[in-house]
Amino acid sequence: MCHEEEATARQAGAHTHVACEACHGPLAAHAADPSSLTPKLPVAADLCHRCHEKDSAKPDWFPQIVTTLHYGPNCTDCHQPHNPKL
Amino acid sequence: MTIPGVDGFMYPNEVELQWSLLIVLYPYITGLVAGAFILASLERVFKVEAVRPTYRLALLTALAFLLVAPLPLQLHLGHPERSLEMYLTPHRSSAMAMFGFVYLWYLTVVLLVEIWLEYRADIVRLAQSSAGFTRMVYKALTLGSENVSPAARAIDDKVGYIVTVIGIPSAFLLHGYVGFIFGSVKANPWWSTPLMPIVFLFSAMVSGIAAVLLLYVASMKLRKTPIDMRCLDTIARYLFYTFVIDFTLEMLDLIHRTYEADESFRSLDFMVHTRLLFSHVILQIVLGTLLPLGLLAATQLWRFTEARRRAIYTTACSLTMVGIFAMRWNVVIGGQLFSKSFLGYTSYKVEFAAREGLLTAIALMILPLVIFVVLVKLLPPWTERAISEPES
Amino acid sequence: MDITRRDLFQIGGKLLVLASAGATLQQITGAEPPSDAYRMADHWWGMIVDIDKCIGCGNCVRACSRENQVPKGYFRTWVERYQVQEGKQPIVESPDGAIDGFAPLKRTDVKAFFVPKLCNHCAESPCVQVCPVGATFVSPDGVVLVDKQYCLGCRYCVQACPYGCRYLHPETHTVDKCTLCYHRITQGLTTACCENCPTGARQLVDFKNPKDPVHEFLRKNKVEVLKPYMATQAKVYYKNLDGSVR
Repeated sequence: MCHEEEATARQAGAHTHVACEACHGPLAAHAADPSSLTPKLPVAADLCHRCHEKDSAKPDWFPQIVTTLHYGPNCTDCHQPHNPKL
Repeated sequence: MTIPGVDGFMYPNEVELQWSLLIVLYPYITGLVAGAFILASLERVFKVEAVRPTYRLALLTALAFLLVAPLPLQLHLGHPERSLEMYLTPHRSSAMAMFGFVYLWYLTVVLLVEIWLEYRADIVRLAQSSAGFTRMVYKALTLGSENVSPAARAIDDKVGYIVTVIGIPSAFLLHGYVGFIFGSVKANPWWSTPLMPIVFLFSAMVSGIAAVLLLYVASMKLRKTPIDMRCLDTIARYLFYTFVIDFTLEMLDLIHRTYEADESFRSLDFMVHTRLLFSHVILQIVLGTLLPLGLLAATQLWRFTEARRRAIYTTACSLTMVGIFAMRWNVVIGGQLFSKSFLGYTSYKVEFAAREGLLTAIALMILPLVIFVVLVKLLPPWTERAISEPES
Repeated sequence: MDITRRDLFQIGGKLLVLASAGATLQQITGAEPPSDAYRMADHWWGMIVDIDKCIGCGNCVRACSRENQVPKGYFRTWVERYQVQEGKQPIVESPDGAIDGFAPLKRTDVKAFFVPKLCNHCAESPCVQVCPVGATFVSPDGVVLVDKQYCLGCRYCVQACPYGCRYLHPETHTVDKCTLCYHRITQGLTTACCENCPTGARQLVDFKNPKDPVHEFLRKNKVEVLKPYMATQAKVYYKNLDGSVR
């Protein structure tokens, strides 16, 4: 099966319910014929903030950070997107 | 992120208005039809003989406007080529669909039949006295019947009377239904009230009567014929009575809303004081209702010369026409300016040369006047008999 | 040969009887539809939304927009952010329908939360009631749809919808709105918005399925529909919806 490593990692972590297409965009064409469409890697810096930037309207149980007070600006320096837990 | 023209919050799909200037024009035009017809029926059914000089004029006015009425709707539709489906496969729970049949009924069974019966003798006479293409047209209009004997004329009169009697509730239904199209929308608190059909109807009568008065004065001026003041005074009196009822109904709606002050009130009140200040308070209420009512009341209370009275009536009627248009604007456009969340407002900018823009609206208001002129030429409201009738 | 009218009628009649008999026979002995085919009568679709789970990321809006080619500036679904202050009107925003999420809210002195909105697929839909030609209708499986080939574009339904979920499509000039991803749910998939919601705040439900989680959800939680006084029998249920939500 394709992308088995990513799928296993995802199932083990907090992103288990995040659909592939939620981050990688619509990919039915790629699933049907991988050579017809090569998905672009999303820019982590833009993508992760949409969910994880601290917002007082977001529920408390949801992991949020204030980027400027966080360790570094590049999320993927420390976190693996498919299983982000450190 | 602020959206231009929006204050506060609107549901994202609400920002753009769906029903434009053309949808304001539509109830205005059908209102003139209903009003003109009610005036005509005053003479025919209620035997108010004084307004006889305007009887035929009122019928032709009604027809000219009724023919134009579907045009703003057609221009508004996303797919006008599918509009026939409203007649072929109507959805019976839809007020809009059922209205199509009311319109058709009114145009054919009431208006066209009544006009034909009223003019039949003249059409036959004109068919016999004209030549060439004109003769063909009149011959076609006779619909094959050239019998103008006194017995036939008596039948014309009787059937015409019955048609007018049916026509009065039909006219009520015609414009009351337009009011119901708005009044039955529970999602919109500015529209949703059982008073809506009645308010629409009475404001229609006011605008229709005013329109006929103005057309009568204009026609007489153009023909350099003296104006029948007894007729004019009577029309103005009926206009005054109808206006009083209309004003009472609109005040009732306003007072009721203000007193109950339900959730929508705060939002609607703010809208009237800001976005609708000019069109509602100034144009509709002050200039369009209070001022003409005052002018008409003055003529009932004090004596004025004929010339003065003519000036007062034409001023009052012109203001009324503007005021009733403003009322339609305030209902249609006003109903879309506030958010159904009651948390915000949007704005409406009339485009100039677009399909639903100002130029189109002006053209649609001029067109019935053009048709009216054609109808007057084709079916003269004034026969030699009428002209030689003694004036009071 | 001389064929009389009587002959013609007799021959025609016999042919008609034969044809009817054949057709009837075919109907009653014809093949059954395949057992895994979608049957509308087996479903009654709706949605449940958990306000406490929505993080306002806008994934649903983006996914819907791409899945259904929603024109820019129009929304089949959107998310609103509420800031509820004591004794005042709530501040509500939905920047471009939240298609790119929200700018972070820093203040902590208000009660703030997100509310995803969409067509409520009302069982007694006022939009269906007013359509002059019946172009919009409630399907037998509970989804309010618009027939693009029939819609006149009169926008009466847009006026009649209390929730603001309809719009006129700028290209087809017909009315458009959330279809509950009908093309997906009839294939056993879930809607695009539910699929892409990272927290499971939105869930497609089937009221006719006895094993569907909706039954327990409705039994165990405080739920509300939007504008219940409109009596539209809306089928999108919100858990822990604040009273300030409009």
